[in-house]
Amino acid sequence: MLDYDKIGLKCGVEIHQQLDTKKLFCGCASESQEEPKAEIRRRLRAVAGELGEVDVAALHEVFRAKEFHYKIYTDASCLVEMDCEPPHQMNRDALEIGLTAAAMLNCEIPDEIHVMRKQVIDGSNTTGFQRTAIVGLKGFLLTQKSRVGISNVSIEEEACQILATEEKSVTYGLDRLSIPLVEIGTSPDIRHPEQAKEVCQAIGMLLRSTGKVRRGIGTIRQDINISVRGGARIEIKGAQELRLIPNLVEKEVERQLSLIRIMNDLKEKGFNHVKHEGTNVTQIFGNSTSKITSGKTTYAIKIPGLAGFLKRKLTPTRTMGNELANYARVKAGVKGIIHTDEDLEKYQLSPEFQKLSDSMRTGPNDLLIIAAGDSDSCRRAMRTVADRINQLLSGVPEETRKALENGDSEYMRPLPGSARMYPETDIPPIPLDPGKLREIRKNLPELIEEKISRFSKQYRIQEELARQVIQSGMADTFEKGVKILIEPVLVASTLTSTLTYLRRESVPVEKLTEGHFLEIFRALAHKKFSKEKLPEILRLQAENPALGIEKILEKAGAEALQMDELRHIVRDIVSNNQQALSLANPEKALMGLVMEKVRGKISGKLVAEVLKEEIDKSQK
Amino acid sequence: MYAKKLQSILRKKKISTGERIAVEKENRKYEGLLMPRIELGDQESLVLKLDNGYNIGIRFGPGVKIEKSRTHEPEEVKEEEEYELGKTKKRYLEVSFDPKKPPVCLVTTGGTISSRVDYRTGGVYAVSNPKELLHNVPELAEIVNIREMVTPFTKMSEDMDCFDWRKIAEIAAKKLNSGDQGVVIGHGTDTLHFTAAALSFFLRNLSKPVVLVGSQRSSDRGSSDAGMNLICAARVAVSDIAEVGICMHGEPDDSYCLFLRGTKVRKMHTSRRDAFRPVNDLPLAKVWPDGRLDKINPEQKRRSEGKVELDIKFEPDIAILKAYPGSDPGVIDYYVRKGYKGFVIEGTGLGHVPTFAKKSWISVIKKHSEQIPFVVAPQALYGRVNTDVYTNLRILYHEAKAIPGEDMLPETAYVKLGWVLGHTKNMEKVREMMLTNYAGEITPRSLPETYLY
Repeated sequence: MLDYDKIGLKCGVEIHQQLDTKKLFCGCASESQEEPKAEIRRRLRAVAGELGEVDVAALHEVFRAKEFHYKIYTDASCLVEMDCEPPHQMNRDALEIGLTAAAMLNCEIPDEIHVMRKQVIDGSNTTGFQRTAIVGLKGFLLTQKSRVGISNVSIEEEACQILATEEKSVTYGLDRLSIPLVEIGTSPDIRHPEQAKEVCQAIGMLLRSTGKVRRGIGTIRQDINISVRGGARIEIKGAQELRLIPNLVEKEVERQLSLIRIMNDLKEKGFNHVKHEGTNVTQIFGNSTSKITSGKTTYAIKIPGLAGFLKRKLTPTRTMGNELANYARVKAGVKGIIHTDEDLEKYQLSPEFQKLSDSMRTGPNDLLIIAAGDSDSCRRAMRTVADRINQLLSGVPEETRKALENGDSEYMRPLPGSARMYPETDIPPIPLDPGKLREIRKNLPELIEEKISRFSKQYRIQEELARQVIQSGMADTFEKGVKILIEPVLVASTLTSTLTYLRRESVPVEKLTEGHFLEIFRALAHKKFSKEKLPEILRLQAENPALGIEKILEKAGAEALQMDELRHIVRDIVSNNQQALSLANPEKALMGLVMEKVRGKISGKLVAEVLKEEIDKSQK
Repeated sequence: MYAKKLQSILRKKKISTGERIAVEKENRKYEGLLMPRIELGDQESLVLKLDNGYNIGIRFGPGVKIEKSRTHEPEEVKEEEEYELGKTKKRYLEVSFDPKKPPVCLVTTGGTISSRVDYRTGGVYAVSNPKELLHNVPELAEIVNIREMVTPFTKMSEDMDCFDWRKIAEIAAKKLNSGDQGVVIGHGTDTLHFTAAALSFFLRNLSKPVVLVGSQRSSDRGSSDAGMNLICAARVAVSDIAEVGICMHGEPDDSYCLFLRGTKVRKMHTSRRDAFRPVNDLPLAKVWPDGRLDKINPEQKRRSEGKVELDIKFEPDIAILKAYPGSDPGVIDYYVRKGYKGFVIEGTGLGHVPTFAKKSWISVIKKHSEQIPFVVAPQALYGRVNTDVYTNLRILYHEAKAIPGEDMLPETAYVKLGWVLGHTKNMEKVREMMLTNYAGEITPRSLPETYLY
């Protein structure tokens, strides 16, 4: 077990949670129910004073080669998402949820909110920037085990979702663009992998406690920043599942420690920087029987003295070879690399490598790496590989990585510098009313976990049932219901399992309002019907949402009359067929007789029940 | 601008915007750069750019302490400062053009296309160094040789008038007659079509392309349409289409631009990239940034060697009026008393004004039409004015002597009327000239495919 204090683990998380409101800057729905109806095609251009010391000409080249396709969903995107109309004012519900989250996290809230434009150049925003505003600063989160600083709470717009990536184009969906997000960034106060999970969990729960966040896959995302002493800040994106987080942190720590060890080993070995350039060896590989290289351009590079090195493990499940191939794929666009530290037989390239080894005068301690494809990407791949190997001499490079299923991560892109941020002049600053803020602070939602334990204590229901009530969004109705009908378990199960049952029976329970529930509970409290009839009453009310409770009871009463009739009929039949009662199974004998009279009017199950009761009675 | 009270406090403390300050309010402490205040929002809130790049507002009041900060801002923030408030670094501004490419003059007059954003304050300013424009669109060097950039004035187009049109026309004529193969004019989009119409009448015997171009999305954003519009405009400027026109996005995609005849084009949307559409005419051409150019309208002049003649006589005292239910013709008397010399009326339908209504326009028009021309253009925009189909039309055009504006856009009719009145006040001559086609403003035939193109 690693001593995380000793190695100086520092970790912070950034959480993005979609809000359950309309879009942040227009009236579009935050979810599309339709297929995309149209598509627009756009390009981005480098703009004046582009980020940092970027070579603008090179950036132009990058943009020239990429076209962005945006799918238009008519219910969830309009001219604002298409960057064809200035943004409308910020959605006030979203702002309020953001302020609530900031207050729950003990943040300082600015007196005036300023929306900023943060440059984004990957096409995921049609504008070329993301709109974002700080609503809280310098807060903290207390979990059961620790206190973690909150550096910022922001309200921002979600980016488009990537639907497809081609060589020269990326297709995005406009349905996700501009869904309001709350972004919460913690300080790097987390010291242990489990704590990272605990913090994410606590923040997620806190956000859900507002009752106004979206649920489901992709509606919350966690990015994790990790560094160890002597390592570097690594941002890992796309941790979707909480349970993966500790594993992700552990493996990143291992990776950084391995890279530090490698640096020291290489320095000790006196390893020198390798030359950038690869050699065109198409002559050797172009005619091979292997599909990997035949008919393609192949480049090779020799790394002196590093034979066996690509077998080194960075984490138990990731080798240096995996890592190099990952860089070559992402940065150079090749399918992968092949090297002398792996089984060349499986590629059927042994004879070619033998020839290559001869022609490059390779000794037993040297490592050979090749890549095949078009000549540009091969050359780039060789340069990428050489660069990455040379970087090993300086330890851990700062970068953004993508979380993998097994807890490892892979290179995604360089760590972005502080993105240029400048005021969004299309949206005036939003002054906050101090009275409104006081109101928000006074009425902070109860945390879900607290509410569960309060419900279970106060109303003496099981925690699990309390959780179900709260998660179904029925907590308020429950508390009001309990005041009317002093049977918490009945109220809770009505609002959870009974509704679930009715939903499965295709009853339109979504038509039931809180008012309906409370009226029904009141009628039940006044013993206007028996609780066995609750599901039936709910069904009638859902099917006739416009009718008042009296009418619903009348309707139910009409059906109840049939029950009386049924009992009469059953009694008649039982008393007229006394001889059947001595049979082994009198119900079976009499059932047919009853059904003859009532078939189609009432369910067989009820008939069977009543029949059994009457038979039992007369047998006594 | 900050509230006066706040300004004087800042002055007393010798703090100016752009300086790093420390603010303390109710035990909350913030440090950051003091930003200038835009006119919107709470003028008593200090705007602070924090070290994380975000701005926040802190309301000033009793107990709020402001001081110059003793700490330094982080490197990234400093680096931003080097951009000279959003300007491009000087060493990037060396744009060199290939003298072998055709020489073209670039005129900038203001508007979004020649604005830059101050990245720190968000303020929008005119590009002061024209090279910045070129820096942002290096592709231009592959198409044209821009020998000179001329900036006669810098205005948003809603602030322009006929004197500005004249200045632009003078520059264009001079440049075209001194060797440039075409002229590209950067311009705000609101009244771009007015200027386009004016240049169409002012530049007689035009032998080379005159291309007006604007942008609908500011150039601070990667998605700005300015770059592609400029590239396409440069393509047209070296083409053989000797017409005045507007070159802007043809559809919401960044695919192609349309080159639209200056007298037959109108801004038809407040914010879309493809806001400019041809009305009662086909586009002159479709232009792709890669240089492909499809001529669509067969009615167009070819490039030639002739000298361009400048004809900028213009009567500024003219007005556009709109006829609508309940409209009061008394405005005509008002304008006449002020000395106005001519009117364009946006007529309803085929070119009507209220005739038998309580507030009939007929008697007022009749009263003045011996001395003052009334030109009627269709407020429906699409289609042609008719003088005879209904009684009310016959009354307006035959009795009250209004001049039917054919299928001219109201804006084009307005510019043309000013130009005609600059040449003659003789009513017969005015009528004759208004009904003569000078710059493609009147088409002889109404083609079905021109509707909602």
